[in-house]
Amino acid sequence: MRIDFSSPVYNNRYKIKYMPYDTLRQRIISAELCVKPDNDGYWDSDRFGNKILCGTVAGAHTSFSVSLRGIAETGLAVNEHYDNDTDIFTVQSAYTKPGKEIKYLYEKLCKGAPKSRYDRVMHFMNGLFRVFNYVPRATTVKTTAEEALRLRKGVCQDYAHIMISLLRLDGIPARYVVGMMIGEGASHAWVEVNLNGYWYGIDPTNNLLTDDFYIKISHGRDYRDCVVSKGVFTGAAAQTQSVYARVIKIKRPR
Amino acid sequence: MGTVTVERLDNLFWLGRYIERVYQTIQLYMDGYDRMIDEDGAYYNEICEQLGIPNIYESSEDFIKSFGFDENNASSIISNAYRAYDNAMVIRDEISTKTLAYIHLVIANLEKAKTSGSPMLELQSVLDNILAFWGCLDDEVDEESTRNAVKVGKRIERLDLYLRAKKPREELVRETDRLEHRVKTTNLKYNKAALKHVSALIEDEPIDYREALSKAMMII
Amino acid sequence: MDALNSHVNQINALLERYGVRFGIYKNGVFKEQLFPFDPIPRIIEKDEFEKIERGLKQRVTALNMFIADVYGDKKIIKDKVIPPEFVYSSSGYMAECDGVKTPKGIASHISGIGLVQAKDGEWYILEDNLRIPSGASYPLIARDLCRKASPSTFRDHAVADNRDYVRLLRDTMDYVNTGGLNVILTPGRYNAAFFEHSYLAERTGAVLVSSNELVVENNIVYLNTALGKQRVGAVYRRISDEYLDPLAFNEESLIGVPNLYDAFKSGNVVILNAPGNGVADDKGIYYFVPKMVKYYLGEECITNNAPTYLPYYEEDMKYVLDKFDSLVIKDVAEAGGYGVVFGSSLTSEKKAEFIEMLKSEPRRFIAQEVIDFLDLDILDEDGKTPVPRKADLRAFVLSGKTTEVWKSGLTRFSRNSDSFIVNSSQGGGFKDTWVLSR
Repeated sequence: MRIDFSSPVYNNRYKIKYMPYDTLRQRIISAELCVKPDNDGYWDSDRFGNKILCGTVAGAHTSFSVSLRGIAETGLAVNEHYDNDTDIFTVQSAYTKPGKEIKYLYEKLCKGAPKSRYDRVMHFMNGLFRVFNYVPRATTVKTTAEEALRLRKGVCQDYAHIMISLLRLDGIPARYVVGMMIGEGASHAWVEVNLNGYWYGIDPTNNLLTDDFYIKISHGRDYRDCVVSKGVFTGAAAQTQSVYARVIKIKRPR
Repeated sequence: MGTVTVERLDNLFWLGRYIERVYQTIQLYMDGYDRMIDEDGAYYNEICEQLGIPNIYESSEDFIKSFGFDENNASSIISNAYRAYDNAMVIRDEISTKTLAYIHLVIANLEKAKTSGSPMLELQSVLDNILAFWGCLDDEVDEESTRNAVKVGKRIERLDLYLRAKKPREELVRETDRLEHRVKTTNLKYNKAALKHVSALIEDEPIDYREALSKAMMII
Repeated sequence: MDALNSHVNQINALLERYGVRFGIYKNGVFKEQLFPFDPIPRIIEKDEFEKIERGLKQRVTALNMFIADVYGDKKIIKDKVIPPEFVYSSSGYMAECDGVKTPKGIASHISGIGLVQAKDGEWYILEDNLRIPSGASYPLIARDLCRKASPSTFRDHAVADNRDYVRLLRDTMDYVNTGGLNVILTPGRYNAAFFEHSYLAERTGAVLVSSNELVVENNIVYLNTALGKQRVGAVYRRISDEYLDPLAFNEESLIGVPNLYDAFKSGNVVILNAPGNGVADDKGIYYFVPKMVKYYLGEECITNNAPTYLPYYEEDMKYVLDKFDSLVIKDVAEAGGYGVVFGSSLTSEKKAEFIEMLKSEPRRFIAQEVIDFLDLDILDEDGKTPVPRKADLRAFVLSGKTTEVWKSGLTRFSRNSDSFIVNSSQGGGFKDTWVLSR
């Protein structure tokens, strides 16, 4: 993760939510963190258990970067921990609040929908995949599920928000997930649904269940809870943020 | 003591400067008003020069109206009073509501004078209220360094105006001494060298007023 | 009282002298206006106030327990007393506050409870404000000025002295203070209530600060003074939750203090009122307050809610559609007199539109029976003739070591005879509130 400033800034207070942690499905074997410029950071966690790196870069600087290298063991289980405290994920949130478009799609998909919860999830995901198109830069980080669906195009964030909105309309608890996927590029977003108390990962962008190609970083009600970087600084500068991730498969360590 | 922040020290200082500017310019204005009535209709040109403010006035009537009470004229008495007010109201808890009330009254007097047929009476009330303000400040504010931050503003402003008016040496020496004495008792950051320089310059013969003024502007 | 009426000019001159104003934006330009004061006080008898007092203490105690529960064990949701959507979809609910314990367990230190008196004399609660209720400074200073203008009035009537608000507020701050200065954090002088911020700072001895004068280091809040840093133990903030800390809430806030929320979370400073309180004064949650009182305290709720219906519940929706014309409908997301619709005032076209909206977003609205307000007299513009106006009362409840109801309050009245809206931003004025001491 790197931020470039158009002119020097100082007193840069930052919070970075981009550190995978151990779950039932994944184990972090090694992680090497490098923050530039160097400073005294500390770890905090949010209400959802996501890890947050916090700190302040006091002196003048024109770029700020956090890089992380490490090995994660994935695919350890098909689901996450048992969790029946899911009320907060059953209620629509700022980004997922359905409007006419989503309600219409939901009603359409309900016709001929299967009975079992698991099958319904798959049915909704298939349905969304059929009507929505992956088009980079068609939307922004501020686009809501309803707005994206009206456009019929967007990126993984939009797929995830619309999917969550549909599931919550159906009374199925669903949460937003940020993480990395095998290959190279930006970060990825997908969805976890709670079935009988267990969280399962689904990736509506690719119309797949998540597997060992996925490394999870954070989850929350929607994008708001998983914003990768927040910061305030002194200085008048424009900032450009980029996130780059490369995930490769290595052999299972002994 | 110790809870006054740098921002608030700044407000205290500028409150002192602006209220003193109002006080001094009203006296010039009243004096000039009197002279312009029957003797010297162009006298306002001298006032502008003395204060070093842009002479934007077309006539003595224009000057009387605009320099006195036009809020859009940055050099006017009323503009300076509003600047004093802006600085005062954010430090109510330092100077007390009682003291702040005199600034409210100054504004109210000036607003009244604006439309009054006999503005001199209202202006006299402004002067009275400014004097009451200083008295109240002494009485209500326990913390000496807080009081003195306002007074240093007053001293600096007066020195500034006196240098512009090319006042005689004795008056300048007295003002500089008072300033030096006060500023030490506050937590204001000031430029000692500049103050020394001013003290030296006003001892010269003849006094280089322009140079002394430019140094005086560097003190705080 | 008549003595006060005859002193109306002196009182107004004093209000002007002391700059008793509130700020208002008109067409984007900031202006300060005198807050119109009416000299005829609202008088509440001793017995009557004692009942209100008992009710308010009970109500605020339950509301404080609710906030602690919602951000703690969530028993009231688990026990199905309040449906989760009313909590989690409330705009005042802050997920960031989940699991955070407030110092001494108090979340709403200064509560402003809106009441109205009906024609039958009964008092009804209109709303709870547990975030930044403002207005206490106005009756406080008005009383002071009235005493100056007409000392004999207060000699002849046994009126409870309301000047102890200062002590109540200071005691509350001191009690929850985690060690350090008390400060009042203001968004700045262009805030509508800046007079109040500066006046309360002066009176309580707290330091009035703007965000750029505070700094957080290692989760400890300091005031940057000319002589160095001083630790802050209590922040009575007059900035709303979302702008309080750009790193925790709205990142675009320029009036917040970065990392202030972390310091609070670590228990190193108290924020009055606690962030996240909005979940408890939501208009939707209002409906559940009597149930809360019963649930947490095992007592019947002493205060009366205005009869309220939640279109969220099917039977209530039916009733609301049935009686639409006789009800007042409120948008739960709006405040300050906005988003309030009287069913009877709509044209049939607008009504159909509104009902459509109501059906598609039932959670967004509540409906209430229109209370027949007891009008209060105010002096007409001539300063002589009494004329009736709608009025409400904002009572202030302070929760520190004990929970106390201030024996006064802000009585606001509507400017026009046909208006129900008493908000000062919509032209209303205020009265002193006398609580008789015998």
